[in-house]
Amino acid sequence: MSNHRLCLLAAGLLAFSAGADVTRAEENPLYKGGFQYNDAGTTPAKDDSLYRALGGSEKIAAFTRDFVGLIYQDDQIGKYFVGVDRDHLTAMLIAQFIELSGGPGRYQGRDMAETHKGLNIGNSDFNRLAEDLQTAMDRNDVGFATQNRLVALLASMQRAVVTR
Amino acid sequence: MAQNILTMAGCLTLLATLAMAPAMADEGKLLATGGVSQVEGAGGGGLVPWALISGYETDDGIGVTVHETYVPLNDFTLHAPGIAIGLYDRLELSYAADLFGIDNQNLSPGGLDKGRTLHQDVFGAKLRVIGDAVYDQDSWLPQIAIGAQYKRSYDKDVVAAVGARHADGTDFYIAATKVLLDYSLLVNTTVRLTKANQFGLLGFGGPNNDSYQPEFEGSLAYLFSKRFAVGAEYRTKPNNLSKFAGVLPIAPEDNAYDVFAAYFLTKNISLTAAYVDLGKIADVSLAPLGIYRGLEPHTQNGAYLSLQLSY
Repeated sequence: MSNHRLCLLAAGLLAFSAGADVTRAEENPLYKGGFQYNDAGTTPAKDDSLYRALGGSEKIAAFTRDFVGLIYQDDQIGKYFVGVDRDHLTAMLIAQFIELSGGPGRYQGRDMAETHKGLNIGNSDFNRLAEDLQTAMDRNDVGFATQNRLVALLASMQRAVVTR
Repeated sequence: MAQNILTMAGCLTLLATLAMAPAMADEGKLLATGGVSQVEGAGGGGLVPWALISGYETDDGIGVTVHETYVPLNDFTLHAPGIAIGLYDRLELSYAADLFGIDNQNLSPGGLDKGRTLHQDVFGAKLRVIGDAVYDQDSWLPQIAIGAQYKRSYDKDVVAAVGARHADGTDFYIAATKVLLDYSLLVNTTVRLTKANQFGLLGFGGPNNDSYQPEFEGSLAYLFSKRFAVGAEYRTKPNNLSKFAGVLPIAPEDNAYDVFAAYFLTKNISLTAAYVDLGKIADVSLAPLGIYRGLEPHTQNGAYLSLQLSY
């Protein structure tokens, strides 16, 4: 997979519309309450409580590194990452998880549907990725309820990512 | 005869689907997201059918689950083995046998002899209509499914003795299930149109009523971990039979509820244990003097144990 493709795929693993502005401990103006419905296609956290529950940037970096290790070795989805720069992907995912959970920093990504187009990803691939993320969080002692809160923010990406 | 042909056709369809299953099995769903098996064979909780499609296959595959359920109550023992096929996370076909053993000798009038087992077959179909309980975390829309359960009793003498109108019937239901990952909760509501007396074990319809009525069912589960969930369910039931219409005095039908714990060892095996209360089923206090032993009508409650295997 070329570096160009790598950027698109890595960026596309988490969806952020260009210009999404997540403020730190204040209420996110894009948050609409209830299920954090957001018609920009993303589900940003309303404040930084999840970021703190995940253990902040250091803990997020730790489980994300384990997560990337798992998906590269995964017998089902490893094939999507062949040739993809692992360090670069890891750094981008860390930034994305931090922002998604309401932490400091901003990430601008590409459209989910566009970046996953043509990869023929199925629901079982998407779920396998989520399971690898859960395993990585287990190994880093993230509580199950907190894990679910992060997965809740990622779940709606299924619509754009899964094309099979 | 017609019944046997129907059963045979059903079995052949199941076998044909099973033969196809290995080519299409990826066990792609997340653990616990197929639910367990309810007493009438459909995927759901222990008592209530949910909008989830049984098994671990995603929209790419066909999966099979078999279950064995054992419910020892005060005067009866329910044994409910069954099988369900989940097709493409869209359609579920199921079969369960509800075998209701009579352990109490005071129910003899009308054919409810101690040692006898009432037998009901339940053939079910469920279609997921809209929504995804797991993926739709950013919307209020639940996963919604519609279903039907055709039930037929082998005990026409008992059905007649209690004053029921029919020995077979069909329940229709609509279920809405939502997983609230932010709270690690699963919520389900089901509305069922039914004429069944005691789930169908005492026939359908009766002197009080012989038309479809809506009954309300609900479940709530909390996910402690990937493998372990606890919850509670509630089911309202109609009251079609009247106390003095048949040979056998029948207590007014109660609502049923359970509190459960479900353990998902792997995607192949799950175990559910519950405390279940099915209310009063037959009013033993009015049994003829010759065999009356001064018993109060019993609430039929007890343990519920279920094993589910998925392929």
